[in-house]
Amino acid sequence: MLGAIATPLSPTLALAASEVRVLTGDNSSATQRAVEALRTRLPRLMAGSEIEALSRRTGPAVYLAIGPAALRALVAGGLRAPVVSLFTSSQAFHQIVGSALAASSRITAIYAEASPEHQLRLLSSIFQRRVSVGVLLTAETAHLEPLLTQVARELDLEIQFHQVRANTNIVRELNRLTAADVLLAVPDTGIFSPDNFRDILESTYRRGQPVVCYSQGMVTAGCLAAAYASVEDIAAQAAETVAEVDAGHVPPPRYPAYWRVAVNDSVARSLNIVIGEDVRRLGERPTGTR
Amino acid sequence: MRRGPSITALLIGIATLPAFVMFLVVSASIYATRVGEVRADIDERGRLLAAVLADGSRYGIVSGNVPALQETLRGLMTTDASIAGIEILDVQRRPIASAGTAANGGALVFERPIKGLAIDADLFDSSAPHGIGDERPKFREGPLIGYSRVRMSPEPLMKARRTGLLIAGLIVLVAAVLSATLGLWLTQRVRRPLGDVMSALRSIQQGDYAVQLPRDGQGELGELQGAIVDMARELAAARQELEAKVAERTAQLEEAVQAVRAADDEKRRLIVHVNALMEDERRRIAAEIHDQLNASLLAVRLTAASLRSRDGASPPAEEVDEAAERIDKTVEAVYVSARRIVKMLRPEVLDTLGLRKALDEMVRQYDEMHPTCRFRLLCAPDFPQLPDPLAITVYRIVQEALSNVVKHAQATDAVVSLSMEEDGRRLVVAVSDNGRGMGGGSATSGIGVIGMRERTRAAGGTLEITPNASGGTVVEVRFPWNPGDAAGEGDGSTPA
Repeated sequence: MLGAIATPLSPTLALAASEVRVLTGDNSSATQRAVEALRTRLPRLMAGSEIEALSRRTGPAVYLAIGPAALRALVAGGLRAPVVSLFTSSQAFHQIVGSALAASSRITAIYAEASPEHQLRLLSSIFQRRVSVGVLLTAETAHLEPLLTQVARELDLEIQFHQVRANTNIVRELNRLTAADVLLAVPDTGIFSPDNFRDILESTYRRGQPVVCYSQGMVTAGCLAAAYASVEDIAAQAAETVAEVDAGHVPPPRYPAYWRVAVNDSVARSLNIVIGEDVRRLGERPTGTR
Repeated sequence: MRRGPSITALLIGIATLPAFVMFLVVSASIYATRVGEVRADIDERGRLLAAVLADGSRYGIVSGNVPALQETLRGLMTTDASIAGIEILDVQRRPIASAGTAANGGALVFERPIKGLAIDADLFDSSAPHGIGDERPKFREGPLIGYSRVRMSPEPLMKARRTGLLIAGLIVLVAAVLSATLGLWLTQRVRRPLGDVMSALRSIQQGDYAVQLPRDGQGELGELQGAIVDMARELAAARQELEAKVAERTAQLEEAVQAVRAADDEKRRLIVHVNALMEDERRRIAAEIHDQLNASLLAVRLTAASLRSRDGASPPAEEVDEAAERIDKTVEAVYVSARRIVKMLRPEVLDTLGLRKALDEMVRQYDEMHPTCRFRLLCAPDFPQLPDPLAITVYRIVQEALSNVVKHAQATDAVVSLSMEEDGRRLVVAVSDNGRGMGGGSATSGIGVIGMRERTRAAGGTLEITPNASGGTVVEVRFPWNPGDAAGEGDGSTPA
């Protein structure tokens, strides 16, 4: 079990009225890194892995859920305090919270993935020409289609969608997008899984079709590039969201305001794609970070 | 009788059989090694091909690109003649693509599962926090998606290596022939000396020890030849020695037989002589009795009758006195005659005086009757009194010896000695003289001597007749003696 977390007072945010309580779903090093990043921004936070221990504390509070497991626990706990979901994808957030609670004013989120707009901006910057973008969607992510279409239009990109059934043979479904110059990946567990991701990469690579994805790990695994929000980016936006909540306004769930770019140079070289420094510097950084 | 193969046959066998066996073993070994190599090679190729195929066909199965898979399999079939067939199967082992034969037909089958390759990248697919996962993706084995199956036939590989196998076999055969030839050549060098050795051994077996072997052999063979010659020489010497011993023993045996025969002759002669003596003695005693006793008794009878035939008248006193005196003299003469006869039959003195004094009396009588020779008796103080049978034996032997001295020796001095050996276990009775000694055979083969020998032998003693150192003869008799056999104390005489 996660133990007690120190709560040193920080003069920078001493004015906050609500206590920030961070619920973790596990005790992994990644989670600890996230807590430490949050503590940098919110020094008085209380962190723990047991919701009962946190809920016994008195006084106004804002709960931060790190990851889907923590979010699921807070939702199930039926707390009345505001909840901010962090490090959970939009698909997972909506699966956990549901449409009814999502509409409530007390649960909000900063999604784990960069917004479709940021992803298409990155894509457009890489190719710097009108290219055809293929996107695989399932029923759970079909709601992204209008947003993606709008942004693509704004960026002068051609976009084509192919909706598939979840957990089908994605490699064979990719044959429907052979006309696309580049594949845009959006978080969807019905499409991307550890078992088929390598085959997807191999299939697209054989066709000379780069993939722009949504996490650093996917870039390392073989995608061309990704627009993503780092832990520090999310922590900075979380502190801002807590301030908003303290001010009496719970913002709606949203994509990270801060983001940056990851590039796999080997893939780029293999596909003969040149990615300039301006592309690598794309994104928004919180104040005080690089 | 010779049994089994000859040395030549054995040597030929020794020279050729190892080469033949070597040829068989090496050929079999080469064949087995080659077959093993082919099987190992096929095994290795099959496993490798199945593994490569499993890896290479993964994407074809996932993408469903069967024509590409089929083309890949056909291409693989052309790379190795040992590949009899290749199949790509789905999870239920139904063929997806295949090339070559699907029948086993003695081919070795290699199968390997085809599994997907999973990547644990940050796909936002788990309940762990999204977007903060490890940047380094982890690869792991994915789910089973099918099987690769390869059928490998060893026949093409064996066919390719058969020529090499044949050449290796020919090389081994040539080596075996060369080895056998060399063995035969070496055998030929050994065969003649060994044949000579065998001939020599057969000669020795047949008793001919005068064998000759050329000592031209080297090393142990030469040593063997030399040993056989030496052995034959030693056998010849041993045989000669044995024959000499046999001849010597045969001569000894013949001498013993002759001695037995001589003894038998002596006994026969002795028996005849004794019988004659007994007849003479009986005749003499009869004559004595007739001439002396009968005549005297008749004279007494006549004298007595003359006294009674006077018609009742008493004879005159002078006549009676005269008759009584005649009768007294006649009876005295009869007594003397009877005593002489008894004395001839058994020395009375022996019973009355004992052996020592009887001999003393005998020696004294000889000394009186033969003044030209001095007779003496030397008796050791510890000489015991002998029991009767032994005493009469000693008495008769001494009597015969002294008789011979008188008859033949022409001696001037004769000594009878009675003594005991130092250990007290033997009596020694010796009669020695300084006469002319044993001139002829009568001294040792006469009837008297035979009698002495027989008497000695009957008493368990030994008799030796040897020349005296100072001239003359020594008759020496030894009897075994047990002190418990003594007849009594004192001088040995018995009361008259």
